[in-house]
Amino acid sequence: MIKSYKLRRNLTNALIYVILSVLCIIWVLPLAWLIMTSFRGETQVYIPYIIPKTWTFDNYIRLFTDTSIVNYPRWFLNTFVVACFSCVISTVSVLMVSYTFSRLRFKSRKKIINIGFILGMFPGFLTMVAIYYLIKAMGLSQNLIALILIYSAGAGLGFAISKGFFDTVPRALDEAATIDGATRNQIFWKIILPMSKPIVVYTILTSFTGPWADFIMARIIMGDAKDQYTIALGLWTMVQKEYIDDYFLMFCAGAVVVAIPITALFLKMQKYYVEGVTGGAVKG
Amino acid sequence: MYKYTKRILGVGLASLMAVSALAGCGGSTPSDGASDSSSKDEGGSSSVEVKQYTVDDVMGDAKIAMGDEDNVTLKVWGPQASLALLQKQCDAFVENFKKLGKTIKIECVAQGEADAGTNLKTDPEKGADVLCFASDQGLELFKGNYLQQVRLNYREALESSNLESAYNTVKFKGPDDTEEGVYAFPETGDNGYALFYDKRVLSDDDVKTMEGIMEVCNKEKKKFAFNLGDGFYGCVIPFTAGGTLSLSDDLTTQKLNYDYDKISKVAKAFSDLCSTSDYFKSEDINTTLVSGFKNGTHAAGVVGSWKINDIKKALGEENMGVVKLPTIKVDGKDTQLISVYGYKHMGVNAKSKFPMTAQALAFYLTGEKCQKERCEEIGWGPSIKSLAESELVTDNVALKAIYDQQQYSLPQINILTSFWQATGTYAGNVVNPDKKHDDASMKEYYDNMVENISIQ
Repeated sequence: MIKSYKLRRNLTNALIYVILSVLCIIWVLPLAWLIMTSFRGETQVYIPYIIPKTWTFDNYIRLFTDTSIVNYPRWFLNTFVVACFSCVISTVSVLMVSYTFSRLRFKSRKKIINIGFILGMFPGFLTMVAIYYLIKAMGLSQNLIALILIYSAGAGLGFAISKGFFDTVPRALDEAATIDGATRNQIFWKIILPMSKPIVVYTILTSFTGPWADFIMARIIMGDAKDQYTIALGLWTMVQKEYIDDYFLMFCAGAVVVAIPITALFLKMQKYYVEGVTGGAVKG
Repeated sequence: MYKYTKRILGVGLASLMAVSALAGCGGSTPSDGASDSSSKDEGGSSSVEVKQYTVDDVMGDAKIAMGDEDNVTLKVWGPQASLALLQKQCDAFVENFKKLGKTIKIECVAQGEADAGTNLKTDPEKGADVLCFASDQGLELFKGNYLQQVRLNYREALESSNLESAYNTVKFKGPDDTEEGVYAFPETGDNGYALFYDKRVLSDDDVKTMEGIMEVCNKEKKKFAFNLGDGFYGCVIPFTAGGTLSLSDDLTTQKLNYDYDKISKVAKAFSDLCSTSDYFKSEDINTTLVSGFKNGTHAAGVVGSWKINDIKKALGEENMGVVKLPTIKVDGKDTQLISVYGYKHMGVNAKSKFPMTAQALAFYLTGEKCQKERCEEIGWGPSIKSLAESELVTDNVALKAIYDQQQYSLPQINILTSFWQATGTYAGNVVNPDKKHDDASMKEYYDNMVENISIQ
């Protein structure tokens, strides 16, 4: 038994730091490997050492210039368009549904909420075959509009978290606004939304990253229409057996570039996360 | 009024959904595909005398090739490696018929042969009119009526010009058919595998036997990659022991003509040699072998023709050796490894809107001229007999080795999909150093394989 408090504290801390460092290395190593590989000069898929001996930007340059077979810029743009549209539509619909369930009282509100929860428990891809045939019947298969529809159509079901948030916003604010003559619509846009930045940001982030990273639906809908591929599909194509020996390093570069929009969005939105807004708002 | 609007809207939306759902169902039933008039085109019975055509006849007469079809639009699925050449050949086809007064538009889309069948099954209406696929998918595509039967007028030309084993893999007979029908056009004759090695490490004598290869690999600390964990390669164990495959008449049950006593001896030989060495690797050959050769970590590997060009680049042409598979010592006797040998075919989608033209195109693309161009320009081994025996193949080290292996192989016919995974798991266990290799365990691995193959 170690008696000195200081020694014991130092030992405990040392142990904790060792564990944390190991965890950190385990977590960071794949990312570091990916980034290093994307700058690697050796062209083979595997090398028997971790740190490359030659470094180059060529993989990135090729990724954006050699577009005859692997059209990464086009896929990037497709994904960006789909993600932006889906993000706007889903964010608006999620927030509206949440606000409705939080503030309005109407017949079978409870039942609809319950149905919503139950439906939300089934993963979306369970219905992919049905979705495919519906989309095909509408003449939209192999089309980016189909993806936007799929990603945003069911978004309203994800109301649970933001409804919980709206429930914490005091109803007194609504009442005050109603007395001043505001309609429900005005209350939602002008009073509640500006005060709910954290949940708005959260909703934006989740509804952007979902479409950005989705593979299953895009694979089902797009088939052989390479021009309409999204990044997830494109990256997957690059590691198929007939492409991998030529495109593996571009794949790594592509995987790094994919992270940029999400990181940028997150950094931009991050500050709103920490801003508590609701507390004390009534006092105003 | 408001209530009314709501009701009308509700009924309207509901019927829209119902209509779209039904429309969807229509598209999902490909089973009627082969029975439409086009697919039975002169294909019902061969007892009637049918005029036979060659590719030249077809290219010289639009009536023979296309019937009454005009303003044709076709989509062709081919792998990326051949796409540019395929488009060029299709353009030549279009040009030829333009002179004969017909308008055709052909678009070639990249689609690897390994997934072509699966993607066609996903939605035949969106699939290509003409698709290249590997022979392992033929049976499933035939069973689901996804392929059009080849016109009887083309059969004789196909039969006489192609390698017999290649032609055998495009013939299928359903439970209700009185005789075999031809359902695809053989496109290549080299979809098998051979032993690729680094000449700087292994000599011509070393590569004749598994024992020779492993001895050098162990000494030089270099790897020998043979992906037995994949059924395409793993079937070497039962086949080397004299096993063969057949199918029940209703095409639903795999019959294994296996003799466990013999198989256990071959399996023991593999297990003794491979599971005891750190340098024998049953790994994903498609992603590791080329890098391994380039890094100098691999001395040899068993892989197919699709990697010839990449390996040539990695090793340099002068260092690349390719030979048929080696022998293995079973019961003190050198026994030649027997592999499975596949082909690539072109098939015509049963849902094609222009079946005559699509068939003519597939016939032309798999004809001697196009196969020769593919062999010369991208190194694909032909299925046309005269080309396979010509200098095009005999002067090409890699292709020659793959064709040499053909005599020590079983053709890829009568094989159900369940065969591959189960066989791969069995062979993978046999060479896996972490698994037990006593008699009881080996028998258990074998029994599991047999059971899993029979589960549909």
